Order: sequence, then structure tokens, then C-alpha cells
Amino acid sequence: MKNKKRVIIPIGPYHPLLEEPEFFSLYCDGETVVDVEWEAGYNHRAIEKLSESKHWDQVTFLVERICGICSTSHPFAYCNAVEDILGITVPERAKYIRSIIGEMERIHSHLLWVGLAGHFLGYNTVFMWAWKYRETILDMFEMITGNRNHYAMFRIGGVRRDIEDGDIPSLRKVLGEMEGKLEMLTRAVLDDPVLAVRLKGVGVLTRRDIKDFGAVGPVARASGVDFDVRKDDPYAAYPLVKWKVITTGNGDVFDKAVVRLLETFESVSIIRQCLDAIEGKKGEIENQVREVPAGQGIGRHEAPRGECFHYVRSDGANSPVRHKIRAPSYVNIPTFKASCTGQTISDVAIILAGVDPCYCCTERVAVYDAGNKKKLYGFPELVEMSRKKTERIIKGEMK
Amino acid sequence: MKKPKIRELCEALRSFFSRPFTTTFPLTAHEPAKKFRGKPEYNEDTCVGCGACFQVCPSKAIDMVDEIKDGLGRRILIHHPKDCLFCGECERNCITGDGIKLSRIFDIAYFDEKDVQDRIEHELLLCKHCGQVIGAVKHLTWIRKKLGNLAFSQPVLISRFTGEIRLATGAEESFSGETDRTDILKTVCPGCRRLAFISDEGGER
Repeated sequence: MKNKKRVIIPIGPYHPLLEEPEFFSLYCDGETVVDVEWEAGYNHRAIEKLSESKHWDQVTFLVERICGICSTSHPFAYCNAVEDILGITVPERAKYIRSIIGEMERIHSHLLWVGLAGHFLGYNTVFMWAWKYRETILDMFEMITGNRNHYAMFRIGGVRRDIEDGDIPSLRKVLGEMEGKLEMLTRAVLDDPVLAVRLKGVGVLTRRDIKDFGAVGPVARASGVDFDVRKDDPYAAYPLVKWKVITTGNGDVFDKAVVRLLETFESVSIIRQCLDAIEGKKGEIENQVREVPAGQGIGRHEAPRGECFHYVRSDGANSPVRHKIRAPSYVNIPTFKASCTGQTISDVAIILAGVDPCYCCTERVAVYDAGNKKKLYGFPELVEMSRKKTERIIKGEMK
Repeated sequence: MKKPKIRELCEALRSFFSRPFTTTFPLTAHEPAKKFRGKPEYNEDTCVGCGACFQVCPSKAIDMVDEIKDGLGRRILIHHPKDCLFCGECERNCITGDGIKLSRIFDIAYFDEKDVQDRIEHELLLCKHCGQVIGAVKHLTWIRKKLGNLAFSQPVLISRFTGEIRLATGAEESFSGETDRTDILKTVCPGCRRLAFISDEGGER
């Protein structure tokens, strides 16, 4: 180190804060972060290798368990990939059911994010309310698919379970209630003067940054990059329903929150249109697939966090010979280099949260002084600093 | 500025005067949804012991153990809830349709794993000659019923079928040490039957 006064803050290595464990070093000059370094590969679960030992149909259950929150996005992309090899299309009813499940998941994932963002800013009421509203969506999942998470709905060639007409009225009722609550939550976030001061201009990513890092999903859309797999490479029922891609221009954490909140309204509208299309009708929900020929295919799905990509190669046998998975957080996380640089340590927690990584087992972040290796801050302290900053803004000490 | 606060205040008051959103789960029983995928359970009457559930399980949560002791065979199918994904593939692929069904039981925390394991035992039909497993008795009976008269094309099924319609004498099948032509129609495993054919064609093994 040239400058001995610099402080290195390691976050990780078993990354507690993020979906895929990785290691961050925050180089700090006083309160300001001057550089971020990133390492990945700590939570290698060998899923790609394991999938080579499973039957085509069994892999859907395996990839479903890559992510605990967006658990349907991986089977979605995997099924798209295998159907690309097969060259088949799924029945129309299955397309609608797939989209319904995908969009319900987007609502619950975005609400989860809003809640956590509130938690990190010290707005625990937002956390409680957002998670309370999310709970009704999870109950709907239990009613339709039989499980609150890990729905096991996807199958190569279609879906495993049908959405029965008897379930549709209660789903519509929940969506109606949900819309009112989302309206309240969105307005509360958009109008709040404290949140505006706290989040506007924090962790800004320009269009240039997005292109350089290849960021996807709400992170890219918040910076005005109009990239959405559902629109750009249509699949399932997305070309059959009317919806629009939400983009904003500023690229800060506030805009990321706005994009996510507004996307939930689009999701509600997509689900409504899909329900209209399947209600009262009968139809095939799957094409029988007997064997997968040799070949290779790619599948993409716009997961709540961005584009989820699967590549599958087959040699005509019972299981894939190569299965490559790229989850959206993998490309979004390096943007920290651009977004954290120049920010204060108290903003780091919310900037890291801004790309919506998975917060499974926190309390593992520690801040060390580079000189004597003394522990300065842990993740609880970082969150505490973030909350204190919000409090100071509320009291009017800061602008 | 004031209006948003009023809106949030309304929601806060509504939350304050309504009953808590959380449930008092251990005190009041939780009722899962109708389609809830809980612990799979075997049905004593309809499970035939074919082992299809064991083969399709993505997480290998079902064990199939064939025990042969003193000339008697037992097939034990054990479901381990600790490995189970509750995906419902066993139910979907069950050859009889309801040999194994996902129940709505969700409370499967345990001190001793055997408390929550579900197991079912089946009698096995063994080769009278070499003692190898032919299949579960119930499974063969199920196949016989499914095939109807076509069952006469399969020697093992013939022997069971003729016994049922009282064509067979009911006498114990006798075996000499070596396999010979008469063994073809007895209760033998495919390997032994092939040997019997070969010895019949060539006159020797």
C-alpha cells in the first residue's frame, strides 16, 4: 500500500450479504470509499457438474435450488434451453401458466427487496409492511403450486400442474388487494423527503457504466438502459400480453427502488391478462418429451434480478453433457466498483443492497484497519451507521 | 408533505386495530392449503413395491433395500423426509397411481429419524434355482391383472396365473441340481431360464 492511512474493509469471504458468496475489499480514505476489489467463487456447490449426473427431468428440481428467492427463474431458463434443443413450443396454456408463476415471483422478490432496503435504512415499518404484503403472494403460491417456495411447476415441454378455475377468483382478489397496497407503498417511498435525500444521487451508475460492466435487470433499467429479455427475446406468454418496460434515467439507488416498485404493477397487469386468457378454458399443459436429441441450446429468462442464462449441451443421452448457468447477480455485482467509489461507508450498505443480492446470513462483514489488522466495523455496525445517517437527515442535521 | 403522512397513518391505524398478522402457530394448529405438498406416504393397499419412486426421486430420498434371508425375500422401501424435496415426482410416476401420495403433513421435525420415516415392506419372489430376486409378489400380481390373458406369454406369470385359476396342481416345484428343459416353465429368474434354454439346445451347458 502506498498510502498507509488507507483502510481496507473486507466484506466476505463467505459472502454473507450477497446471493453468491464473494469477497469485497473496500479501500477507504477516511469516510470515503476510493476503490473496491471483488473476488468470487467461495460458495461453489458444483451444481453444473451435479446436473450432468441427473436425468433431464430431474435437473429442473436441482436448478430450482440455486436461488432461494427467485426459485422459478432457473427452471424457466433451463426449460427454455432444453426446448431450444428440442425445437418444440409449449402449449399455449402452459405458456400463460409459466408467465403467471414468473410474474408472481417478481412481485414477491421485489417486495422482499423493498422491505430489506427499508430495514437497512432504519425504516423498519417499511420492512414489516412490505413483508406482510408479500406473505399473501406466498400463500397464493401455496394454493396454486403446493409450496410457498420451490414451486416445482416447470417441466420440459410444459408445466407440471394446472391452475384450476376454482383458484382463479381468490388469486384475482389477492391481486386487487395487492394493487392498493403497492400503490400506498410506492407513493410512500416516492413522496418521502427523507428517502429522497438519503437515496438520490447515491451509488449512481451511468449508462456508460452499465454497458461497461454488462449489468442487467432493474440495475440496468434504472440507468435508462432499456434491456429486458421478456421484450427483446420474447418467450412464454410475454409477447401475447400488453405490458411495458419500466426505465428511469438517474441510475441511483432511489431509481432502482422506483423501477422495482413500478415493475410490480406491470407484473400485476401481466398476471391479470394471463388469467383472463386461461380462465374457463381447458387445454393441454404439456408436450410429452420422450428423448432429447444431440445438440445445444440456450435459454434466457428475465429473473427479478435480471437476465438468467442457461446453456445446455446434449449428446442424445439421458442427461446433459454440459450445463452452464449464469445468474444475474454475477454480472451485477462488479458494478460496485463504479457505484461505491466516492461514496461514504454509511452508504455502502444500501448501495450493495441496491443491486438486490441475497441477504441470507449477514453478520459476517468486518472492517479492518490495514495497518494493525484490528477489527473496526462488522456488518451490524455498517447497518447501524446507515441508520444513523437516516436519523440525522430526519432531524435536519444533514441535507 | 402532509398528505402522504396521512395515507401512511391510515395504514398504520388499520394495522394497529386489526388483529396481528402473524399466527400463534404452535398454540393453534396450522391448516395448510388444499394442494400443499407435504410428506409423501405409502398406501399399504395400493403400493405394489415396484420401486419406480426409488428410481425417479431427484434427491434420492427413497431407499430400496432387498433383503434375502433363509430363502425368503423382503423388499423395504424407506422414505427419508430429511432428503425429500416434496417435488411430487414419486406420486406422479407411481405405476398404480396412488401407491405413494403426498400428504399435507408439514411438521416433520424429529429427534429420532425413524419417527418420521415412512416405510413399506413387500414379499419378494425369488428364483427357485439360484435365489435371485425376480420381483415383488404384489407387483407381479398387479402386472398379471393388467395384462389379462397376455400374461400367458410369461412363464413366471403363467405359474402364478394357473395357480389362481386352479389349473396348477399346487404341488411344490421340484428342482434337480442342474437346470434342464422342465425348468423353463418354473419360477426361475431370467438368467436361469436362459441357462435352461441353452442346456436344452446344446444338450450341455
